[in-house]
Amino acid sequence: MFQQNYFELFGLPVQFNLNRSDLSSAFRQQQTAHHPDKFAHADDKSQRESLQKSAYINQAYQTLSTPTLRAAYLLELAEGKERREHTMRPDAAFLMQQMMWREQLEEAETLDDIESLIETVRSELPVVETSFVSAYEKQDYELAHHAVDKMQFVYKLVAEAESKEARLLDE
Amino acid sequence: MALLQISEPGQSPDPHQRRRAVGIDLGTTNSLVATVNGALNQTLPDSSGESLLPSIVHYGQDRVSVGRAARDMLAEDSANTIASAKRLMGRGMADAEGLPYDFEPSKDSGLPLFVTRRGNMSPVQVSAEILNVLKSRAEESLGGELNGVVITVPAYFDESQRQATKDAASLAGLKVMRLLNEPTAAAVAYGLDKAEEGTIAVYDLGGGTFDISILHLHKGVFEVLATGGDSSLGGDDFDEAIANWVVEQAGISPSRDEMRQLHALARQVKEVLTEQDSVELDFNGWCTELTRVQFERLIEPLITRTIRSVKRALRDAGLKQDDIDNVVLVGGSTRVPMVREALTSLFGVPPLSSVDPDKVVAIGAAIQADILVGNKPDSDVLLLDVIPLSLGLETMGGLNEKVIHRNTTIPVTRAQEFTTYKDGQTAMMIHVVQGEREMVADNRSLGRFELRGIPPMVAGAAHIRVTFQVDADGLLSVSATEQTSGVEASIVVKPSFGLSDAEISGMIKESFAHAADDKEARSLREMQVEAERMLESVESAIAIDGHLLSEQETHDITAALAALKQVNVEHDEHAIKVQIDRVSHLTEAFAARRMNASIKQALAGHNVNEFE
Repeated sequence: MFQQNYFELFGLPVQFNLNRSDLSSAFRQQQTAHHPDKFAHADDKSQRESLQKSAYINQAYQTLSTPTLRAAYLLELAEGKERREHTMRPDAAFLMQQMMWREQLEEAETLDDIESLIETVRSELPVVETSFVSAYEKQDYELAHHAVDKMQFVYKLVAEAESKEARLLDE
Repeated sequence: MALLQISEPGQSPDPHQRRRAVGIDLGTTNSLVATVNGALNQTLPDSSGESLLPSIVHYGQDRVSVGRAARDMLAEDSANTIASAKRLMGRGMADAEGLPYDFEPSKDSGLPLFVTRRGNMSPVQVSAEILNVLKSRAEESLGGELNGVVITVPAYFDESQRQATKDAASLAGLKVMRLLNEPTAAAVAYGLDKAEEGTIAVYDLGGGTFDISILHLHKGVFEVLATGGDSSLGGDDFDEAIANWVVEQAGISPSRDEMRQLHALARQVKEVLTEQDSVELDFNGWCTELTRVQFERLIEPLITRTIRSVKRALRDAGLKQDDIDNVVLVGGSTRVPMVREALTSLFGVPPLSSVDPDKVVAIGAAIQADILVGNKPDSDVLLLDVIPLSLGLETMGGLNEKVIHRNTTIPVTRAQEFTTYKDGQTAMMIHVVQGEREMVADNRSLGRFELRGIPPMVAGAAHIRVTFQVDADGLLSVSATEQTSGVEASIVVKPSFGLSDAEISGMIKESFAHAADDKEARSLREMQVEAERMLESVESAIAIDGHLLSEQETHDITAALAALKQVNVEHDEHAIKVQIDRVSHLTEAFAARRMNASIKQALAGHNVNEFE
């Protein structure tokens, strides 16, 4: 099992777009077969093995079910562990965009402000994901890394906006 | 010794011999034991028909008593009558403060011990007494030794609390097959595991604590999506609200004894108002009527607080109210009609109430025990739980580097690489912490251990792989290995010192509130660490290879280092950064010369072939 990559483990094609329900059902199938609860009465060795396998399945599931981790994992598979250090050309337009959103978040005072910002930022995701997929397919890994960074930024900003929203709701 | 029985070939005495398994709800106020008997799930009563065993232990002159007998001694011999030991499981001396007992720290671990006339007792020992009573009750009822038990713990219980619970079980001679989270057990009791798919909220309002958990299940697989709650809010606060109302209305200032009576009266009033619309009450001759409407006005703020926690947990799980398919009630206080109404209006579905909310957790544990012990080999039920708080390591500058984030599904193994900070460093202190905050000091310390025997290398060259493993019970072990030499060290986390439940939930809340401050503190601290690292490495390089520098260069670099030291004690991240860049620029040529010199030295006297 540990020689299989995460996609192989779940019997999925090695690509960014995946079917969530295929992933979930493969995950559950694997856990049903290997979870420590299924070995509660077995010998120590089987219990240890089951613990390691179950942890590996959890790790694989978390990686594949989180888009940024999934994208980074695809690049890791493609480039090997020794990832080349890409000299990143900063994307000036995206930097501007980031600064603008950050300002908007800081200035947002009402729930409506925040919600509309979250919506705007989220709407950027499909764009970034598409650009990742096309860069990855063309094996332009530098561009693909750029897309992963953007994806990370978008998710992080959404998380920050949501925690600001939560604070407002609590007040 | 019993004789071994041999049956006639082909006729084993009982081919379907069931293994004996029970579920135990080791509660703060009451404990229960339950089993699955054929198709029937039931709690096991004592000889007088009572299932609930008060979680109270009395250390008397001649004997130790547990349960109601111990409760009767509360007023008379309070110093030797221990209630709510669960609150101190896996906790430190600091948490014992304010509790009405005498404590002494243990000589070995520093953990608090109750001082009783029968000697000092740890919370683990007290809990073992309770477990012992439940064990005998179960063995009598099932007719023999138990093959295995499942014990429930609150979902937010941390490593040391879980470990302490397991220790208590082994002390009582029980074989624990699994520690199960209480909310998961409650959902299992309703047979929700047999549903195709659904999202469940478990609302647990006990005597002194409130917990909310959001679970998702799909074809028998449970996942805990989020947990939350309020550890200083419970049914006792409802009683308190009634008692305070009486004090106010009657214009009296009751003594401590009267206040205790008043609380008992308030409790009865609350129970009557569950069934009736109003109740006459008489407190030492002062009479009045309390209607359910008035009562509800009194407790409304408390219920609102629980609803706020519910909403927060939903947000943590990334869900909306109408994503919840079922609401499960746990704890006697959920019998209050207003609680049910508030939940019905929040979720749009009435909460499930067919299983007694006092027994639901024990029954769920019994069902799971029956599966784990092997009585239901075809069951496809599988419980996947998560860790309640993030686990991390202390890195340079007192920062918490999270290795496993909270709400990660267990079991989980995760490794992270760290390196040395100083040239020639041969040992490393691994400090394991639990919590959400950026600075280690704001989190809970779980344990420390040392990795020794790292071969001396330049700073940053060693590869130390630290592996965290959390098993299916939520218990953590940590190991560290230096990759090039293979030296290893590890610990299993045991109770060291602790925080109260209130602090745990407080820590999560604070991490939200302080997210912004923390980030600033972190980035300043990171910059300072970077400055220290630079000072350290340039100074040691000058000490070794100073002869490679001209006088002017030495002067410039030394001056820049002094300036860096100066700004580093001030809290200006930008100024530090500027100075770091300056030092780095001034030493570029020096670094190149050192590199060349060391290559020359390495090659001197060797054939090129030797390196192939």
